[in-house]
Amino acid sequence: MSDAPSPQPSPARGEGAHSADRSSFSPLPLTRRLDRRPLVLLGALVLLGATMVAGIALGSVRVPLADVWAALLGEHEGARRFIVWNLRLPRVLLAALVGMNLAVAGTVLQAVTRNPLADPHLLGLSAGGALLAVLALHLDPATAVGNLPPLAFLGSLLGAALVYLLAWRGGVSPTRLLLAGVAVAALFGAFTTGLLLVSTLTIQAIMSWLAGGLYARSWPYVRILAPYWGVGMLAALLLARRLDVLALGDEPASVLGVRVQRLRAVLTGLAALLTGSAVAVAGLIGFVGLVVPHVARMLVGSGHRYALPVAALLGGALLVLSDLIARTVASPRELPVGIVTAAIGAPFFIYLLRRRT
Amino acid sequence: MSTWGARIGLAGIVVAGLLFGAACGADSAATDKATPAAGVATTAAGAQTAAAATSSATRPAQTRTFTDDSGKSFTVATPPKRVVALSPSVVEIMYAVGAPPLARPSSANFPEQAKSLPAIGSSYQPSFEQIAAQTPDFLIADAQLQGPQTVTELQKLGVPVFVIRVQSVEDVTKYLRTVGAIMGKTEEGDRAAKEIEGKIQAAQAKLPAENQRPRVFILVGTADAFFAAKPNSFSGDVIARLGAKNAVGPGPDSAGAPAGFSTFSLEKLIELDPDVVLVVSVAGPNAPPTSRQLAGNPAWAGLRAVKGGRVHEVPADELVQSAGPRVGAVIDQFVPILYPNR
Repeated sequence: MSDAPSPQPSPARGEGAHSADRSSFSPLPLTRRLDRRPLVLLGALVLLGATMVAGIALGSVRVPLADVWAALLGEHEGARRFIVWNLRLPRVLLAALVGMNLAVAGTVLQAVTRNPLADPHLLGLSAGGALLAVLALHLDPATAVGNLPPLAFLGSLLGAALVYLLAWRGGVSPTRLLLAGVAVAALFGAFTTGLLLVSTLTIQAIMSWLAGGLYARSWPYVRILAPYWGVGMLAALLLARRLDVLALGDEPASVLGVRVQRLRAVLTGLAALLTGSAVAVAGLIGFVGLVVPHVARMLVGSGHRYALPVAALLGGALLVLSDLIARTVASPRELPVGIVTAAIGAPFFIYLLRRRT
Repeated sequence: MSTWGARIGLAGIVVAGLLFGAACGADSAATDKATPAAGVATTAAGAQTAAAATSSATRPAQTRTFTDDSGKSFTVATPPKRVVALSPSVVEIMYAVGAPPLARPSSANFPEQAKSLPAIGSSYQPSFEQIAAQTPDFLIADAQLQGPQTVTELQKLGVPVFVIRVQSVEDVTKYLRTVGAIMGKTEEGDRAAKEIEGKIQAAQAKLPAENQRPRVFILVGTADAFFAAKPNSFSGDVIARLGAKNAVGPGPDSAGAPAGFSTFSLEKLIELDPDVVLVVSVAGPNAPPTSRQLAGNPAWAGLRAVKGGRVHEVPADELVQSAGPRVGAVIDQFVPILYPNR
């Protein structure tokens, strides 16, 4: 409005327009707007806590809340304690860790590619991780579970490296990166599906690789994933400011002294660590890495010091809730958890798209 | 303000990490605690053995040892009372020896009484919560449905997991006797096994000359995708025991097919042109039988068995999903199909 071409504005008129603009943006110019981002962060933490409590309290078998509490305190012996302590608790924790990994990996990748469609699936990271894990199981069905995360991490790195190689042309543009990612994901996905179908695995085991599953995942899996989760989360939070700089664009970031290509490679490696370890214990779970970063940015803006922890907490909450639904909706049978995340995630994503436009 | 928030985020995640660490630590403590508990159980058994040994003069030793499909030995002092069956075959074997299980997989629907037992989910992914809620003292698993990893998970319930595998008529009689003995129903198990053995012997006594025995193809699946049952499958073993020749050789299992089966095409079936085709329709009771779906195919119509009216639908439950003691009835059904002129 004030930029409207008026070659010689009268000083009075210009002054008036200016003050009108200011008042329309902040009616009370002297009051600072309350930063609600810490509250959102707290809210996300509470939400994760609430879903975890629900995940431990509910299941295929009805356990009275008092017994759940007693079991958690270690007072109860027998079947109920076993159900709460050895079946539900580790599974809820694992779902939270996997959800956090995928959501943070997605947030990092969307910043790296500056593309809101980027996620561990679309960039070939999940596919690479799954391919190597499934290949290892195919060659030696007795492969220890503990060896799968490093292998899947390697696979995710390989997937990412191949995507970079294909997209490289004296530097990597976000668009080419995404296109190469789609191609690599499709190729690796085809190999993985083929390997699974010629394997001796049951259709249920195949489904839990392809659509994600936390069936019969107990403490050993939590112990296996926890270190990868810890290192990944810490690194992501330490790199949060760099992510903000990268989001400005390659040139402004270079001007600010950031070595863009190196940073992008480090961040992609971090996303591979988070994704590969999650895929190794839970298979291919979609939509968490795509949808959650969007929700987080909607709530707290694109500053990554908030967007990353909020995405982590919401990702954990989404997967804990999805797994609760997966194991109770058709009880005593179970659904692959990826089906539930897609069933929740896809409509929500469509809603977000419609609301924005 | 914003760095403050970030610190909260970091602190939250660190706290969460500590919680996980504590949980893991507490868990290993729990496992340590569980081990002595298991130890107590073995000592109790040991005490019983010792008691049996000291009083061996007055009563025979009760402790017997059984070996399961994985080669693991089980020492059973007294018959278990709370047994969860993990496959339809196990359920049927247990009913046949007169020792019904406490709970069954959702797919187990024979005998009729089994349907009123609590269900523990699919055989492939049994619900551990449901199994634990039954407070079992013994589990009987099925190697064809539960892989080694699932068995390992089941063992964490802290009770013996006995694994059976029913892939031949001999497996049925063997596990009728073994499960019967474990459950304290030795005579019932032996009687049920002898009934099946008697039927096999009767059929073998009346076998026609070698060149009169039919070449049989067992088609398992749907019109779009089917397997051939090889001699080392359960249905393949049944016809072999009845003297029929399998149109398909043993050969290696083909990729993607269950043990004892190989993927097959209509083209290869025409090349074999068997005397008899037994069709196992696995699509369920609501889908049209596979042989009727294939009837419209001209290639199928040219088969010797189709022209001679020697294509028979045979039950999927008894032959594939739930191989077990009902094999006696299957033998009764197969003999007139294989030897119509007798």
